[in-house]
Amino acid sequence: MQLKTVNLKRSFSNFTFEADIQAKEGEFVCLLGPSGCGKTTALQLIAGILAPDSGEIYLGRRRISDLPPWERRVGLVFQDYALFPHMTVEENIAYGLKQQGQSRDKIRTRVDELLSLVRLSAYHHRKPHELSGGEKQRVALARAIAPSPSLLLLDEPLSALDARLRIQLRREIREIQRRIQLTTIYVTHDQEEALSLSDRIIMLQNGKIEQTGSPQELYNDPRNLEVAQFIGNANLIARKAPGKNGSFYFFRPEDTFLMESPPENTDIFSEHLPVRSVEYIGSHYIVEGRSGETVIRAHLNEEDMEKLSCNIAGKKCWFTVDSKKLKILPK
Amino acid sequence: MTYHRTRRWEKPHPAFLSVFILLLVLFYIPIGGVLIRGFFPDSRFDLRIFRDTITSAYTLRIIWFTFTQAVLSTLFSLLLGLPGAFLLATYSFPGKRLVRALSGIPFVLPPILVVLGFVIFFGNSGLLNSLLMRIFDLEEPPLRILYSLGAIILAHGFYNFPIVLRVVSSLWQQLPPSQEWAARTLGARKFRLFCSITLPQLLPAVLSSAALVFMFCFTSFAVILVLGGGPEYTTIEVEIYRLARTSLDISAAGALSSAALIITLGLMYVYIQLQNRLSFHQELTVHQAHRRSFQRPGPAGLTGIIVYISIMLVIAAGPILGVVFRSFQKPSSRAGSVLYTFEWYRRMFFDGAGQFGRIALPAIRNSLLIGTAAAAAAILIGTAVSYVTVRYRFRLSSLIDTLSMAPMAVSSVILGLGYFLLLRSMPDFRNGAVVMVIAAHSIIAYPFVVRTVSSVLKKLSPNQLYAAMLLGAPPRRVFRTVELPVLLPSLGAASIFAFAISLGEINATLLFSSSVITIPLAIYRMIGSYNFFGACALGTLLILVCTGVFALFDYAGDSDY
Repeated sequence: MQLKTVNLKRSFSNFTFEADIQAKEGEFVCLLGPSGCGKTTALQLIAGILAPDSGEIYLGRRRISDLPPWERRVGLVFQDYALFPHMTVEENIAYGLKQQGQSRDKIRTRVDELLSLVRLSAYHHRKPHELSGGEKQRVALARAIAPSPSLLLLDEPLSALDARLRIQLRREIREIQRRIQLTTIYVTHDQEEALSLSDRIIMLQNGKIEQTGSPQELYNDPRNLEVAQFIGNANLIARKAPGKNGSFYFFRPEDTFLMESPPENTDIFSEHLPVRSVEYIGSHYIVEGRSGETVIRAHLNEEDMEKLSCNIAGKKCWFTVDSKKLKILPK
Repeated sequence: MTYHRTRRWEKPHPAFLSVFILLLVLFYIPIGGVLIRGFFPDSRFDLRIFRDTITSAYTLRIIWFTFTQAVLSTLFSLLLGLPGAFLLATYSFPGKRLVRALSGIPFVLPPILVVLGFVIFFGNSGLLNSLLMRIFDLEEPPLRILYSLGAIILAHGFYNFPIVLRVVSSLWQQLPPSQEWAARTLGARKFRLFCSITLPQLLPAVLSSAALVFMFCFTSFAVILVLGGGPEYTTIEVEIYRLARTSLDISAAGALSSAALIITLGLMYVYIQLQNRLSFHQELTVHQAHRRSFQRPGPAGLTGIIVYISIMLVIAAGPILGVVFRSFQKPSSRAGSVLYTFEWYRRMFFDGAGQFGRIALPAIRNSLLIGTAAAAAAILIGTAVSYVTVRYRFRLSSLIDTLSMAPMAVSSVILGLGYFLLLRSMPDFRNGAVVMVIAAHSIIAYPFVVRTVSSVLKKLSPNQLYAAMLLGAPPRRVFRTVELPVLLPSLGAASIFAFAISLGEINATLLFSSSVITIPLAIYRMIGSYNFFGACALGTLLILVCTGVFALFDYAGDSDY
């Protein structure tokens, strides 16, 4: 169901959250930002764990901001899973269904269905302490979606898991979300996770929205320095642009190339810098040029490297980028 | 400005508030009554009594003796405990579980049993003496330690060395062997290794356990009262009792109580500081992956183990087995000899009109009744306190934390004195004594309930409660379906524990109750009238119940999520 908040605000002693979160029906929205940006606050406000100072929250046509958590029909997956330790996997998943007063047969069918959805079919009678981190996360997801909530919230659900498992599980989460067409708000500080999962990203900082848009928009067209620095790798050069006061040239390392002679094409921006390091990381090389405050990194593949005449380490080269790939950001 | 909006279900339930009022009534009113007596002797403020009491040569001698006996007892406990800690942390040997089990005995037993066991085992006509007399064919008992400083120290050592043994050996076992290997590769020899690597790391555990033992010995009551045997060996606690019950000088008792309270609060502060350092050290070491591997003892180690186990058997098991043994005996008509019999148990249960049964049967009945009621009350107070201190944070919460844990710092003798005064002021209160014994016991027991329950409550994160709410359960149902089932085993364990504490309590009971006889009180009186066999029969019953209760407690404590 569609989520909409209006003038939502909550202040703490040292921090104020003031941002409106929207999600369309069936949309997967990531709240992205560094720790302390207010993304968990947003989730707690929507879930009703935290009371706002002012503002309203609508889920579909219902105004839920006046309802207690147990009447909101919002599912939440916690970072620490928060499974009930004294119940089996089956009882955990059935908990929400029991609160709805469903019949025992219906509950059993639904639990089986969910366990196979999260690929834990033989786990009915395990206790939480017998599960691995990834399994606990799957049970937590199944438990949250069991009562068919109108909205699913996930609070950094993968942060306690190792890198490989994280990638696998995020695919599964997205897959399940697509299948059941559930409106989802996913909180993360991991930009790669946000890029790979989202229909839309809401980037938060200091309790305010910095930018919202598709992953491509945020990556290719960041609105300001904070977004550019937070998402992906960025080259940023402080430069006075014509007509603008104190701004930055921004471009991506994968759009940056290296030349041993100055470029003739005027559409190309270049910077003459000594090469400080050349790093090989398998898929490509990272070449770093540095002079004073100015640092530029270029991601070059084997072919690009072969074009260069000799060992460039220590030599002064031109780091170039197509002007179309270059963006001027306000300070 | 901080604007903190809380909702109805985020605030403590009003029921908790009423429990705090109960705590106020049951603890702060009697204690306040005691302390006020020292400063308001004739309902007018007067510092003279307090000043005269605490500066008199007599009182200073008592305070000095209290410190001396506590220091000596602590040293003796260290002497008994540290070698055992070394053996447990270093060697693997067949008697290891026996050592652990033996060291558990004093935890289980109330002080009155320790006293009884000592009289029976080490007394002039005790088992040890008659055994030695028979072996060496002596006319006179060779050991005369009862009613002396030695007896006090020996009893305190027996009672407290397990604390040293357990605290130190558990830290010792966590010391990573890699450090020793590193020191060895750097050329350190065994003794140097111990002094430079092991000892400094053990020190927090040694100091912290010693401070705890010191505190227990400092406020010890029954052991001193009986085994000290006279005004020569009087500590502050015993003196408070004498002032209140023998000299009937309530003002002086109140003044001395204030002084005692100041000293114990100071000791408590030191202990908490040491304890914090210990947990810091444990955190440091616990993350190390390597566990110590135990050595097989060489000839020297083996000798040490055998000697230690023998000493433990004599000191720890001897008195208790002595009590059980004596309970099956009765004096025969021929002087000095005894008969074996079930007489005492028969009289205890089936001869309510007889001289022994008239005391024993009501004592058992009273103890069971008081224990059950006190356990229930302690659970109520303890659970409410745990709830408020763990679950809710608000402006006054640190004050409430302190207020609710304060009863741990006040000795049960002073609490008893408070109830004594309260009881005296309400002569028309029917069954007042029983009600007040129950109240005193629940105040003494509830801090232990708080410890057990709040540790479980802490394991349940607020997120688990929110999860339940978001799945559609209102707070009451969350409590019933999530919190209560998780708490239930610990509530069971805590109530058993509280019951056992009430069953063994003598300090407060002795101080104010003359009409309500409990098992420990009956034993105390029988010791006073030299009916040791009967006392042993009641004592055996108490041993049986206590060990059973703690076995159950261990079992309940094991069911852990």
